Amino acid sequence: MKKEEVGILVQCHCAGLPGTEDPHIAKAVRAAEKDPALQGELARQRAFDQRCLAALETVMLPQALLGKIAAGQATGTRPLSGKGALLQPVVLAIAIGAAVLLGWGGVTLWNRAHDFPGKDSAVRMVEVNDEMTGMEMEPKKAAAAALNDWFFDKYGFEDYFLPAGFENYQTVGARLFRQDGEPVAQVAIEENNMIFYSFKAEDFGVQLPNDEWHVFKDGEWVAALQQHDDECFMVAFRGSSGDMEDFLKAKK
Amino acid sequence: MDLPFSTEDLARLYRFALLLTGDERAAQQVLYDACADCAARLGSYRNEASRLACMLGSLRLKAKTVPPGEGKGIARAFATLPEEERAALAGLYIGLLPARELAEALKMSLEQMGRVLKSARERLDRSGMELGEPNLEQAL
Repeated sequence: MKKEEVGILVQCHCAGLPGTEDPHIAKAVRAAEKDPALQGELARQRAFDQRCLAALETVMLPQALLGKIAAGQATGTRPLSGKGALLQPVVLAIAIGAAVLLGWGGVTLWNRAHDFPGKDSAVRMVEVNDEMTGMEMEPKKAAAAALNDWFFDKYGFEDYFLPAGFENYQTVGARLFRQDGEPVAQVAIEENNMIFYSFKAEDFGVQLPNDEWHVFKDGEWVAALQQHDDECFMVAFRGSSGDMEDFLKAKK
Repeated sequence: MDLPFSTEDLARLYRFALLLTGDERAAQQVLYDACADCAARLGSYRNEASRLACMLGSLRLKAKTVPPGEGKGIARAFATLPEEERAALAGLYIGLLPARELAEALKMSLEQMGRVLKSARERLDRSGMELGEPNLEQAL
């Protein structure tokens, strides 16, 4: 250790304060004690420190302050109640976690309640809408029921089916497309930008009680599907499940 | 307040506050405020040295906002020192932290603290003479 370094580190030494010595400083002190030039400086420093420490020892903690601290409220540990307690990070984290779990659980339960055989295929039919430009369909202005013959004449499709109450919606376009090689009739409706679908239940594994609506959501779309014997009809539009429930209630 | 410090530790912290502010009343207020501010955070520190460093840092910060007092005795002598020297020498003398931890708490290296302490001792020794006292011992 260089003499200059010893001289600096010795300054961090304060005799009479146990537990404050660093091994590096202790080594410097030992070096200073052996160095004739530093011995005197170290001795003066120790004497000076002793006088200061003796003076400092006489400074006592005021009892009133001790009592005030013991009785006082910490700004960060103030007992919280009401809104303050609810805004604590831990409480917020638990609340958010619980909300996410409840939401996830709710969605899972809702999905299970609305699940049915063949639903995946029905969902894919709805997803097709997002990829369409409108050019895929043939313009067709007619009452929805009138397309029965058109689908048969043009595509040989015999399974076009509309439930009661859907016959008179005005169409703006129609087409027949294939999903997994099976035909699906798709009709664009003027009102509410709805889309009707018609297909054979067994082509897509759909198995539902006759004439019972099953509502499901897919992105911004909501759809309702029902089976009648071996034929299926599905209606879809952009909206919520509630919108669809209201729509179907109005049909009854 | 529920603080993880003994009365002796609090007494040492009070001495630190007194040497920084130079005024008993200000020292009491600064220590109380630091306790109130640090109490919530102290539980998150893993060891006592960190808790004490937190208190020293808070005390030093709050003391800087207090107008310097004339003080008496050793506090009066310390009032003549620049803030950095006052904090380093006061921190050393209260003996709460090992020198290396004290240097860290004061945000300086051990070598830097050595230089600051050397300057502080020399200045403090001279100040005893400047205050009209024959030496520091009488000034105290």
